Amino acid sequence: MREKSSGWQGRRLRIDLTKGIIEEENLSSSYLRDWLGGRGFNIEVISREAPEGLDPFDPEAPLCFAIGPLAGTLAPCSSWTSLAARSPLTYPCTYAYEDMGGHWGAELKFAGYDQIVIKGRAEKPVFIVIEDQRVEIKEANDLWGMDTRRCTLAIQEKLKEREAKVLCIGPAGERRVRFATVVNCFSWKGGRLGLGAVMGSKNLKAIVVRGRGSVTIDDPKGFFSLCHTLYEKISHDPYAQILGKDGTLFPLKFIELGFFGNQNVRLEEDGLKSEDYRNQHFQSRDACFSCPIHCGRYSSVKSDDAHFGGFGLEDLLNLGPRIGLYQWETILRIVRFCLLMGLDTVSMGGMISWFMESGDILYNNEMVPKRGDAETVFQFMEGIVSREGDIGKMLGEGILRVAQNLGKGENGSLPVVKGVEEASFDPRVRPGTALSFSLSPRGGYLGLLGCWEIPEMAEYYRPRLEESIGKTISFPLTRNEEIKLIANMETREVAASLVGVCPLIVSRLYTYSLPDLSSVLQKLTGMDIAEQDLTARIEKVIDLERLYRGADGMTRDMDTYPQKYFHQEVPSGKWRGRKLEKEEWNESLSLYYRIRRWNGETGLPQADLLSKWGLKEKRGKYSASP
Amino acid sequence: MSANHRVLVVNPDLCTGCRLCEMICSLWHEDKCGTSFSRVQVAQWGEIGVAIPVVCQSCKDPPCEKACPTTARQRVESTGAVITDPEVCVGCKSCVYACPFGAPAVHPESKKLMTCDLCSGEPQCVKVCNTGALRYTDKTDIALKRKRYFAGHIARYWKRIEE
Repeated sequence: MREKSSGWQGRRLRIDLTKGIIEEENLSSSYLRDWLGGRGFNIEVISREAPEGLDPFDPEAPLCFAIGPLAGTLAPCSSWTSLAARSPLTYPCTYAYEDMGGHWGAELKFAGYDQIVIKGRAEKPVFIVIEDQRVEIKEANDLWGMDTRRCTLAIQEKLKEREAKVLCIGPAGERRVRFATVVNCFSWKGGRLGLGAVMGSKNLKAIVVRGRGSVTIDDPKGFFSLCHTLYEKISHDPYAQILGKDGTLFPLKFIELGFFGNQNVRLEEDGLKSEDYRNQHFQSRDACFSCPIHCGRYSSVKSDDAHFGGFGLEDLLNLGPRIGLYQWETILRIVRFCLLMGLDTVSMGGMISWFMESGDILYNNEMVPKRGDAETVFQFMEGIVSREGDIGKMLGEGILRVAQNLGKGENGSLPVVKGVEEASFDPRVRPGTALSFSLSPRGGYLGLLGCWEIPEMAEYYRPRLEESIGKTISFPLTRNEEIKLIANMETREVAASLVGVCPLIVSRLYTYSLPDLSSVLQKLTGMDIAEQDLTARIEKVIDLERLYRGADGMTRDMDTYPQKYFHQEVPSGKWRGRKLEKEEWNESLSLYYRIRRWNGETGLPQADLLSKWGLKEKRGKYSASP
Repeated sequence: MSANHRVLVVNPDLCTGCRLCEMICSLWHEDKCGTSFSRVQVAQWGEIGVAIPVVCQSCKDPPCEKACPTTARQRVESTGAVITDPEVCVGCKSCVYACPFGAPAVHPESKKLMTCDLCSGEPQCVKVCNTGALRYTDKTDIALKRKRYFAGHIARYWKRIEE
């Protein structure tokens, strides 16, 4: 018997593609309360069911999609989906997660599920159709090979249902490019770290959802008025307004502060003007489900006579200045190509820029892209997606594995963090931000950006930061304060994922506070989840994720940046002479571990934390109690 | 000024497809959230970045009222909204076919038809539409002109989509 629970649907869908078995599993209210949703559900399943060392492409490796209790409700910004699997890109391969916006998560809730766990490998290409708890596995031979846009349209056509929400992979995922993503509803990318390749390895082209159900609410009146208050708060937040007006490109004006850009980027001087984008390429605003900010951008690419959604800051930086390109038209064409093929733009930009500098390690120089030359970039990307020939096969493996293959993997100068292509950012310029990137399990990733360091934003942040760490602060922050805030930001990011809210609004703009999240959860579910209960669940998830990665060998010595940044100074420009200091780095790291109460030597949670969270050690690996 | 001096104006140019209107509508009327339980429904074409809120326009001479075999479609004088009386409605969907906008929706549980009732003169969807795609304005000449203009817009969008 399924217990009646408000907010959640209380159901997990399990699909075994090898055997073609579809099962529903009821989730008890105590389980829902313990793990909440999103990354909580996903790490709980993966830590129990995927042993450390398991090949991410092994049919038995689970691929999970989970939403939070708030998904599909009036709570603003609330329909994010968490994806998780063992990543084929990280080194060593281990648990990876990604939070993805869009409309797919809400639809899954309306269809009646909180989580999907997929295992096995279909004999032939298939796609899954979930329509109001009717689940089918269908043949996808005709869809295999299609780009993400054509595939989405073909499925909607096939099912005669334009409201169907399609999540699919492109040719990159089918061919197991290790940094392939999934794409939902045409515009939203998810699954950095190769979760698209994991989907491809299961011969699964798409998951289509159509839900006509609803989400029950424990206290409809209280929930209504609280959501409306939060809506007003977000709508009137000055930076949420800027985000809505300029999209995620708004921090471009802060670019000289060195938060992003591997070289000394001068966008305006080099011809990349924001107003040119606005006037010539901006078509319309786009929004995730239930979001009052509308930061999505729908852009036009004139030379391809095409439009596409989902263009953002990371796409621009990684596939523009990072590879020597400064024309909007060209950059948009490349970004659109990545969206259609299902390629992650950060890893792609990292790959291209590394090959531009070190391409001579390849034995066939014809493949090497040239800085600022878009045609060679396209040729290179097509080579990666095709995975044809020796070089094509090899390139789809990502920087680290290509270098290892060529016997150049050990020199400490590869631009990778934990095996993942580093973000478009020079760590020597901002060591605090760099530390937060290196701690991120996703390798170098722009997700934990210390925006409070931007002077223009400092006064906006001050009261929010003071509330978060419970004391008055002044800028510049002391190292102690900075590390505390990095930990706090990470906590908020997990909070966002557990309840299913946009991480940008919770952990970058701080517009949703933790007390806000706990009250909205209480009104929705009727469960007594106070702020400290929420914090406890967040910490449990952070600890469990860290333990799981620890079992794969991802420990303290991997929380670092490539060694070259500790030896080589920034050669020129505004930041000339800067480098990372080993001693400072280590002290900061120890401070962070102390805040998390982890072991200073291993960087892993201590035994007493395990028992506190009811986690247990099982055959040398850690796991959640069933 | 009484509520029937005001009209709900739709501007699809400004709609981003966030669907907050559907969430607040279903919560207000049904005490739960679900796009299928909403009186306003956003039709989306993600591939071309178009989203159009489809909602009853409370036409001056409503075709749904004429098409309804049971006289379930009636205008509420206080607000000007044309609504379905669920006690009278037999769920035949004639109004859906008669409506130029396809605005009436079938209630997933009762199977009766439902359309916007302007929340008794205080439409909730407008409260969460900060883009201005949905606005509740005075029925001055200009508002009526705009309403006409944007209704024409919807027709133009349809043409574009069909192309």
